[in-house]
Amino acid sequence: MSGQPNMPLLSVRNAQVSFSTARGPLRAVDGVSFDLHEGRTLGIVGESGSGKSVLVRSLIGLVGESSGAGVGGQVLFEGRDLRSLSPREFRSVLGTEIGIVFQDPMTSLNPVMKIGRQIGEGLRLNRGLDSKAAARRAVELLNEVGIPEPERRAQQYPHEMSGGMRQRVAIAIAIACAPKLLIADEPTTALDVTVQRQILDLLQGEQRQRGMAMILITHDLGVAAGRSDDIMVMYAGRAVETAATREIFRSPRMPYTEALLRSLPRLSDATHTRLSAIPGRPPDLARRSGGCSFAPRCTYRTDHCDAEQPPLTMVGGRGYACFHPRGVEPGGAA
Amino acid sequence: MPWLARQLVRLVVVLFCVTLLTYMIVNILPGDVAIVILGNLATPEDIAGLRADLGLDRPMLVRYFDWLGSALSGDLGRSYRNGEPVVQAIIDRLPVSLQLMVMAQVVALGIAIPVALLSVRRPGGLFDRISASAAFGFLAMPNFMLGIVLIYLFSVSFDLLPATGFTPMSEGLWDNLESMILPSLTLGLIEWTVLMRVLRSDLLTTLKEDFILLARAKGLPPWRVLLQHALRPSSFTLITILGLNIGGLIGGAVIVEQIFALPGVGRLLLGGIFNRDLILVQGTVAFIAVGFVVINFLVDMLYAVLDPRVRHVRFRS
Repeated sequence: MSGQPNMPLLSVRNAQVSFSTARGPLRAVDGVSFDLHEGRTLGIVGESGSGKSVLVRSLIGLVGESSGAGVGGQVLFEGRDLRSLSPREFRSVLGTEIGIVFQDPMTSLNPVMKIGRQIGEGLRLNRGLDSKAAARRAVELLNEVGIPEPERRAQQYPHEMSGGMRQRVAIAIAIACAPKLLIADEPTTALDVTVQRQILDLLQGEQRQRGMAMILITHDLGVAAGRSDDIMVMYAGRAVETAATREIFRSPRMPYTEALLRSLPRLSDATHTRLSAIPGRPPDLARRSGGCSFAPRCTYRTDHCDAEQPPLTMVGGRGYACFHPRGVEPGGAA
Repeated sequence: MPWLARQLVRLVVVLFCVTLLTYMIVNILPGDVAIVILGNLATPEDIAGLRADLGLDRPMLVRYFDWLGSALSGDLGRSYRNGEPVVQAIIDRLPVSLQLMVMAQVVALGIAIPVALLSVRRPGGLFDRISASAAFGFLAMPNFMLGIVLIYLFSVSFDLLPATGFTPMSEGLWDNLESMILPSLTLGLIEWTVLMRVLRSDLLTTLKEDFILLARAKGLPPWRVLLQHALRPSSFTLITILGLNIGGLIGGAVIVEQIFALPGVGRLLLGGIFNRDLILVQGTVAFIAVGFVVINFLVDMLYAVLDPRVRHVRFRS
């Protein structure tokens, strides 16, 4: 443990990301805050376009000025303000303390570089290993993530492997420098259903064994269900509900979360039960209204929802941004 | 058909077409090598006699296939004008043209790659805008014009380099290089522009890829991301254009060799045309065509070196 025992590993306050478009500024992430403690897993859940990937990429500097985005807010990693570090210090934190796995392993590995070298690269740069030691370590890591014949595979190129194998390689790259935080950005969305579970198990196993904290980004509440301690639901660039995973599933507060849960298939449903879809589409972020972003699709909508944006209310360790929370008696008490 | 066999068939077809077309075109040109040799005062009988000696009285297609037969055995015939074997004439001039070609590519790549790398660090930034304007300026300039400007600057005004002429390497490396600097600059200063623009645009595409984000997430500094991850996958269009340029220059740079009085293949060809030395022109053109096809064949091989996926596909087919 580093620092005070109760200090979060990652603390994000009021994160903002905006892009300037031809139709004016687009706020992709609007005032998101959360804490993540060592060894814990936070699931960030939302539809595509809800800002979950942009949020996390902005935290680690992959979305920023160089890509034409404006970022705001505070990001503390082990108490250090990441946004105030020099580029060199920032790269060193990124390379040693934070690992990331992207959605599509077809595009996230360099097509013209051998697997072993891609894994060893970070070790040579951040851990000062020579090329021989890095190559040895790369083979060990390939073995650890469950790739058979790691010596031979280390000499291959990404196109010689299947999607699931490549995602294992991507995980090996992410954990190579023994980071304290692992970010998995839709790590199974691009994979065959049959290997999705294997990859999630591998991620979870590595996380437990190494005591890493993990941010698991997914559009699928089912994926987050068994694998995260806490869940943050995002909608239209804002955090609309945060709670422990069990609480979310037992009694969602936010109508959007409730709708998401209803759209999950259940084994207890009769066969041929229609899955319930959420009517309407996510809002156009360049044309925000003054009210709740979910209001146009919400069954509990009132005039109040159109007039004013509900703030994220924290009650008893969980938060929701809604004027008409589910499972709460009118008047405020749960 | 295997890849290699396809390439060979292509080579044969290209050579046949190119040589036959050249043969026909040079025959259509007004003028006669016999008159060039004997002068305007020669009698028709003398001219007819010389034409018969040179074999020019036979039908064109007969002469063509006759020539093709010996060409395939490596004999491109002898110059009508001075009896020098055409193969020897080309071999004598080739080193000059090759040196010019190599030095021009060094100049072009030496400018294009760093400029492209620097401009993609901030697309639309000051450096990017200045380099784009400079590139279009140079691209718009004809090379004979640029050659004369360079002669004026470096030879006339500052007297740093010789204006024209060629010093062989056997008479000293520095003297030789000095005589080749201005011609190489003339070619290279125009060629870098296209190379830089295609590399820049391919780099911008590559930099949007996820594997670049991953490289950055590993903590690699920006210049290492560019050099180790972005450059190689971005160099295919560059290599293609480079191949076309090199292929084009293997036969010498006609205008630049003329301006700087370099005894290269380009001037050999030009002299052959002026003198209606059909067999010299024919041999030189055939050589240039082979060079062009072979260079582009080598470029195709280079794709496989640069990109393991190409290797994979070819190996399987």
